[in-house]
Amino acid sequence: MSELNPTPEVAPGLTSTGERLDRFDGKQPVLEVRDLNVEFFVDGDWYPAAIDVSYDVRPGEVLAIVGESGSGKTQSSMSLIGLLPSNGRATGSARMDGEELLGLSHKQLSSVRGKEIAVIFQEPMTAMNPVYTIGYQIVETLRQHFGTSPKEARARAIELLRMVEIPDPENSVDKYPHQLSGGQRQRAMIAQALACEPKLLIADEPTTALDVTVQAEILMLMRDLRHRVDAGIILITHDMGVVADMSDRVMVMKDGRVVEDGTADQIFYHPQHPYTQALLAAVPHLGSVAKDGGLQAVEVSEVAPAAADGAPAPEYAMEAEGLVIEYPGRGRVPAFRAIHGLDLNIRRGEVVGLVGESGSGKTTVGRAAVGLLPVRGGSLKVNGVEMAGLKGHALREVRQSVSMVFQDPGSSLNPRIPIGESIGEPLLLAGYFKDPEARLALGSGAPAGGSHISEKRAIANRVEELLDMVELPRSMRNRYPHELSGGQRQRVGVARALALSPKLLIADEPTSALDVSVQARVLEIFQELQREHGFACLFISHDLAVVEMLSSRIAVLSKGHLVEENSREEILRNPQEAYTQRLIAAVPVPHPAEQKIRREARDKLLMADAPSTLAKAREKASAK
Amino acid sequence: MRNENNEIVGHELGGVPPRKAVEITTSLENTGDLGQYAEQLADQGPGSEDLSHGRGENAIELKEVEGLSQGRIVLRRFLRHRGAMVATVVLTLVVLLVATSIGWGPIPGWWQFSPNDIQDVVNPNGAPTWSLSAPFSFGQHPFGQDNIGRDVFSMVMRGTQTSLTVMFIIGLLATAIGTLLGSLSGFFGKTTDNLIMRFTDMVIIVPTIMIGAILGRMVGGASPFTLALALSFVTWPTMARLVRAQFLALRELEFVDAAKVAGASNSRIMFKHILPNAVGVMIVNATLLMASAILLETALSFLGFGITLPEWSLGNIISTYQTAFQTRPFLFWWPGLFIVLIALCVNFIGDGLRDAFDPRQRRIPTARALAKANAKKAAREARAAAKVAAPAAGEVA
Repeated sequence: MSELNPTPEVAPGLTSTGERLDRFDGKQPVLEVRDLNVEFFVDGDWYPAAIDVSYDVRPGEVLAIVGESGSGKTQSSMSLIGLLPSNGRATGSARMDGEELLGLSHKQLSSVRGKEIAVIFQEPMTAMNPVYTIGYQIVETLRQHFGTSPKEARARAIELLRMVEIPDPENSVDKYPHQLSGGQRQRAMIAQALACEPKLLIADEPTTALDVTVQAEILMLMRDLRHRVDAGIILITHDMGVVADMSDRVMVMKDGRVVEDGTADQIFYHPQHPYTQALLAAVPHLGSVAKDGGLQAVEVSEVAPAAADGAPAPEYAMEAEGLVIEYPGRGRVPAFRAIHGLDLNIRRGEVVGLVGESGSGKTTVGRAAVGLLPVRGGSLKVNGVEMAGLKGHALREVRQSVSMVFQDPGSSLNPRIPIGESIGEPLLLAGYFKDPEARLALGSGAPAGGSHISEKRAIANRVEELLDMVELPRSMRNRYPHELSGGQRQRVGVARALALSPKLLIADEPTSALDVSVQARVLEIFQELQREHGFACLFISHDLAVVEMLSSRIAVLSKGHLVEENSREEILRNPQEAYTQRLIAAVPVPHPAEQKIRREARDKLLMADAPSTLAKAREKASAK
Repeated sequence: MRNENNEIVGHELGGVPPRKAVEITTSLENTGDLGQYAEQLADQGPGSEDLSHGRGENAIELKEVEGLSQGRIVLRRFLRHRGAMVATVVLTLVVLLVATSIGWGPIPGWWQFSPNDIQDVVNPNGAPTWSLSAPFSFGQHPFGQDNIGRDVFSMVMRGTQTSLTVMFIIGLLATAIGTLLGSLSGFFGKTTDNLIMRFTDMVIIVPTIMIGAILGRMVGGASPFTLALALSFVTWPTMARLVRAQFLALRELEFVDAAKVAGASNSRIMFKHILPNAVGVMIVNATLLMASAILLETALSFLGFGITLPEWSLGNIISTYQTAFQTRPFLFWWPGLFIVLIALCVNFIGDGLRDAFDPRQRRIPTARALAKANAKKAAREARAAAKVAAPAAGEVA
């Protein structure tokens, strides 16, 4: 019944105000948003991005706005400080300490931005100006709003950098953004945001661009800071784990509307709206599969080799022994060794997860396996063929039995070519359909008279079959990539990779650019296909929870070295190496109570970790 | 509040199960274009459920490009660019006028004189014969005559013909050379890149007008074709550099890797995958190249190194009569006007193309468009309200 009539769930914005939030009730809200509408002018009409959004933020409270991309969560917050694109407009009311924010002039806004409301952006590399030092950028903010003397401002900047635990703040203040690591850059940006002691902090996906371990550190810092500075925080994110970790109150947005609104506990333990439930269900939960025993994946690895045709096929789909891969030097820049002697085997039909932080060389291994990077030393056999020194025709032959799903669905499809043609390209180039017998061998479900139809027709049939496999409508064949959403594009990527029924598939972070809910769907399809076709797979990801869902064995990579490799259960339940332990501890879990326990354990682990810069910085800070 | 609910349904159509069919149809009527969200969402696959799925990440931006290929999007943006459209019309008219008036090659035109015929001087001093006093008339020599009675109109027409020919040939040929060298250089890199780029530098450091003058003297002279050919060999470097830069950026993208993994050969990757993606930059640069080509040709002809008499070009008309500037200024104004007109038009078209190819560029709506959109929105809301009110009234009854 309730599904038929969405009214009760759609606008609970204010209805639950009465029984809301004990802890913050006494405080006057810093920000009151009422009936905020954001619209975009597209093609002669207004399209709503946010509809009737209402909420309050109190000092010291963290309000998480959750939703998929396109749900209007970012645009509704950016409209508060007048940062909408030129074709957008906002109506309604947003009051900050009783002062209306919407409709302020440019000049009035610039006195609010940075001073009253500060923003932490998603991508610290692009949000900070690369030609100025971080100190200069913090000083600039301070002097803009308070007119402090350069000397004082600099002292304050150093103090701020110390507060966000950047090591050696006296020297770091004169560093340029590119000289800092991703996590430190994000810290510097937080320092800049806090420079004027804003009353409201908008954090737009502050940890999405970071590694899990770095994310854990930044979250720890932010939790720390909210007790010290009494600011209201709006946390915009799609990661339920981060929400569970940080927030007091959660607002779920879908298609521009607030569908549910409540305390973190309410949302996580008693989600009312089906969308919230689906969102929670879609989050891969670390440890969920390992607990069940993960029978399915083991089954696959044993069944698949038997299913293979009787030919004397090699036992391993991929064998790496002492594999060394280097990026060649250019001019005076020396060659960079990305992989130092890796040993890793993938049996036929087996899914092996390869996990590591960014820069650990996991993508490098994948690219070498399809011959996009040359093997520098050691041996790498793909389907029994040695890849080292392979060129030209022989390489092309190997590539018919190995393929790759790329990371970025935005750039992995040629924007000028309809997707049907993209999917059909490997078929066309392999010339499989030129020869009727090969066509049958591929097992394409061509209709009756299959061996008499033209090559073009045969490819078209196979493309349709592949589209069916990834559950996209056949009519999409003639669409261009820009007309598809990210999830659809990635499914096209999977279809293309499977076109030649490869024996080995390299999946390079295929879901890292997707929303959680979309990711769940793509992973599901991927899992089904793997079970059905029994290809071996190297699944590269930084997300342990995702890897856990799919793979029967997990290899952990760090700085080009294999840290640990074992069955999924062993790695997750009983990690041997400190690095693996830290990696596992850092993954946030979408469950506030569980996450609290995990967090405490994690913080201990982070602090105990002697060489950690964080601990050093803390010691230094406390010494002073 | 409630009147909007009908609209919500419009958004959430997603993969609505059949039992909601009635609502689907009403909301499609109500919301017009919004219903298209639904179609797109319906494509999300059979697995999606009613309320538990959003509209997808870039639904709003997709609105603008729905069902259009990249080429059509570009065309649509170009057609909306006012300056470029006016320029296109003007340039087309000029080409038509030039082509029909004195004919092209062996094909005769409708104008009675040819540039080198000598007539009696009609007006004193050969002044233009057109008059504004009613009734308006062109007279025999609307653009005037020179001191020995040659018709300036036919001269200017022939000159424009020559200049346009040179412009188009340079535009095409220089683009072809530049693209080929640029793509080889950008794709293969290393030694190939070094060789080609050093050669490009060599061509670029010598002033174009100087090489042009020497080449023009050697091969140009009488025929616009040979001159254009010669000039193409000095004007390609900018194109080569641009295409190379495009290739350097594009070859790092994942779709190129994907093509490699699919087994594509180098030439297929270059010409099927990368080049079509660089075509925007190339077209824009080609138009700008044409604009500078017409100026280069006229400059050379003016200096006496390009087209020489008895062939006419806009440049050598000016140069021939430069001494008569005080006494017969019209000998000067007409060819000048055509040079400016053509160069301006081509530049405007280039501008329009650049804007059309730039996906990030967003037009700021005009006041009129805004008013229209607001009216549309109000009407939609009113309709939705009416729909809600009607069944409610029915229930009461």
